[in-house]
Amino acid sequence: MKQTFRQSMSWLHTWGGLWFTWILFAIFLTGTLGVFDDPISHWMREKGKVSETPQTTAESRSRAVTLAQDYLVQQAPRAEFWSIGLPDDEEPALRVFWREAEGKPFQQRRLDPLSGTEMKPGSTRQTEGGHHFVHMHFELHAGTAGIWIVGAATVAMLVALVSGIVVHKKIFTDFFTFRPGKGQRSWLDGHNALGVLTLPFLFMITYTGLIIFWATYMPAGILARYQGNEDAFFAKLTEGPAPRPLQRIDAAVPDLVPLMLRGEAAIEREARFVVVEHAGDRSAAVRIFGRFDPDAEADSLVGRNSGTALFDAITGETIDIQKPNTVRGGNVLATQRTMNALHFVRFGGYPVKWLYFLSGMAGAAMLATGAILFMVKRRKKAGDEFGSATPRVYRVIEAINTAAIAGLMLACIAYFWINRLLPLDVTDRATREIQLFFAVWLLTLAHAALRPARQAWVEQLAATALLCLTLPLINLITTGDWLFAALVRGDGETAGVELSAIAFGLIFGAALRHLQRRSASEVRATAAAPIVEGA
Amino acid sequence: MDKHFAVYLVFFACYGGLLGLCLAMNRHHVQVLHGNPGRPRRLVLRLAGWSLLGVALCLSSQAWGWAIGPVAWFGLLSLAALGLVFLLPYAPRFAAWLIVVGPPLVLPPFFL
Amino acid sequence: MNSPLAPPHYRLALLSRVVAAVIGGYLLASFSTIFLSFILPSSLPEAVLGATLFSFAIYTAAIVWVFAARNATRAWLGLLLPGSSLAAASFILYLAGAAA
Repeated sequence: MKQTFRQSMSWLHTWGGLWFTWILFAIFLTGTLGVFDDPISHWMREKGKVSETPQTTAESRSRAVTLAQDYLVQQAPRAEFWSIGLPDDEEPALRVFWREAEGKPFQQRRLDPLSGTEMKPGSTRQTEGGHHFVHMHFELHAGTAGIWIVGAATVAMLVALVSGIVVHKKIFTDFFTFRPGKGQRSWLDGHNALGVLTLPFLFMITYTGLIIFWATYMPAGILARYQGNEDAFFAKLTEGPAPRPLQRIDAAVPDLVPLMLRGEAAIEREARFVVVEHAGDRSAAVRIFGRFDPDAEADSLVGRNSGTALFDAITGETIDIQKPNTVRGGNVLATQRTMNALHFVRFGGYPVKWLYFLSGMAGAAMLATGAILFMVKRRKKAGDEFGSATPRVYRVIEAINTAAIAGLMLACIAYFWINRLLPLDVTDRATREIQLFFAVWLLTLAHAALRPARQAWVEQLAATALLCLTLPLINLITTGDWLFAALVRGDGETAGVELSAIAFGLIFGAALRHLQRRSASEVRATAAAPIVEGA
Repeated sequence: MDKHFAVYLVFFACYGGLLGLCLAMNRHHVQVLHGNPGRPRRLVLRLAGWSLLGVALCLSSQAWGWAIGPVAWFGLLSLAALGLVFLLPYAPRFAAWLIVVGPPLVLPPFFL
Repeated sequence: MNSPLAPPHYRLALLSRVVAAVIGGYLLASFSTIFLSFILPSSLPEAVLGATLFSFAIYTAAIVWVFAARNATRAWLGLLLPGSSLAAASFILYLAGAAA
């Protein structure tokens, strides 16, 4: 392959890029939607209609913890951990989680905070809400395998960013250049503009995303220097208490309420989670996590934790206290925390969230234009990269392009519709919603395989536009709440979700009109387009 | 500084700066103002452009501190750039006038 | 562009590069992590973390190198030479640390 550096980078950008573009588009799209995780959940759980959120008192929390402890002792007297999630605005139920041992399945239940009994399905709209998008984003709902696939795609993104810059000869002269109405030229201009103008964001979000799971992706350091003992490593790194090994001596977990109250006093915050590590063993420890206080927002990117208190469960001795918004650990840890904060956009309030949202959507559009450009180029002048199989491979790529881009967007808005249409008393309702999301996505792939390319795009975009524009309507029909009511009561989250859906609907509508007009003047569009740096 | 007002100021400062740098380029000067820029004009535009971007960075850091300020600046810079670049081919004169009419038009809500 | 038809030796060379990039690059990044954890002037846990945070840039650079190299052999050499040096140096530092 005797080529210049630029030529080999061009090959790498096209072929290294293409195979990951579809996953990366999904990662970008769902990650961007995930910026508004909480508002989306707010809309899906119909939280807007709740006017008063009941204040919790020490009594109500103590009662809840006692009920949860009684339940957990019955279910799993010996467990790797128990976790009790106290009720709050977003989740009025008392939640319990546990796992008996590593390798055993993780369990969770929702209990009534007043009676301690398991809540019946059908009382509230059970949903994963906006968090579905976050899960899609970092693990494609596929557990460890998903995390690795996302990791691989992220490295591919870094490579594509570097190779893209190398290939873009005229990165400065073409900085402000966008020439619409010129077919392939326009797609390339658009792809370049979307990439170059958001380049700082793209590098930042990609690299910070990758290092979130640094210990999973690159365990070499811990393996070599700590013999793979992650617990010991993290304890040293975070200047936290030493890990407590299992003693294998039975000891019942004493009453958690006094410990919770001591913990709350120590960190000066209400408890949110009470966790018992090694429940039923003599090495048991109780960790109290403080409630997140959005008003205590420090203007820095680091040091925003909600406080924890750690006690020996059996002796009651205090092991460790960390007050809220304090920092531990050295500069490198602070750097890593800053990178996390940059990725999770845990700062700057709504203005910065919107900046991330718009930049993320631009990134997704950059990926989409890249994938589309690949086929636009080859529709004009077919290559033979796959020998005699090339036309068939192109057809497959066309179909996947449609389903990965238009189809995914359709599935995303369909998820909101599914949330409203699925009956409340379906078992495992939250999981069912997500399964239906994937079902819709799969259907779009089948649709794209069966329909001619242009029709597939038009039909899927049209469906997406329709579902987006009529979202407030289906909300009104199914819940009786509507957009103007939300605006009047100052419910920014609900209104934001619906207004954004309408905005997207209008954008897709405009894209549709553009597509229809283009197909009408298809014949004229064969005017020579100046070619093309890159593959 | 009120954060929303900061967004407004920083955004228009970025937009103005980018517009200056854009017009300093031959092809875009022709696109918008129908005529080649002379060397002195190009110098002035570039100076004004970079200065406005610097001002935007300072404003942003004043509003959000020096940790978050630069991040917000990058974000608003990208936003302004995307707006300018995708507006330019469709409405080049409007893209230029936006820096004049935009700020006063968006100002009233801050006083309500 | 490069050869459109794919004779077997081209495909083999490509496969070789892909393996070099994915696996060879990962190993190089891993050895750099271990080496840097000995070299960086912070406490041990911070050195491990810092080395790892940087390793992803090395992985990216390694992949770019593999596809920029003139042929598959050079691609592999460009990974194996630094990789084995880093591994050897790390081992020496480990022994030195264990002896101290």
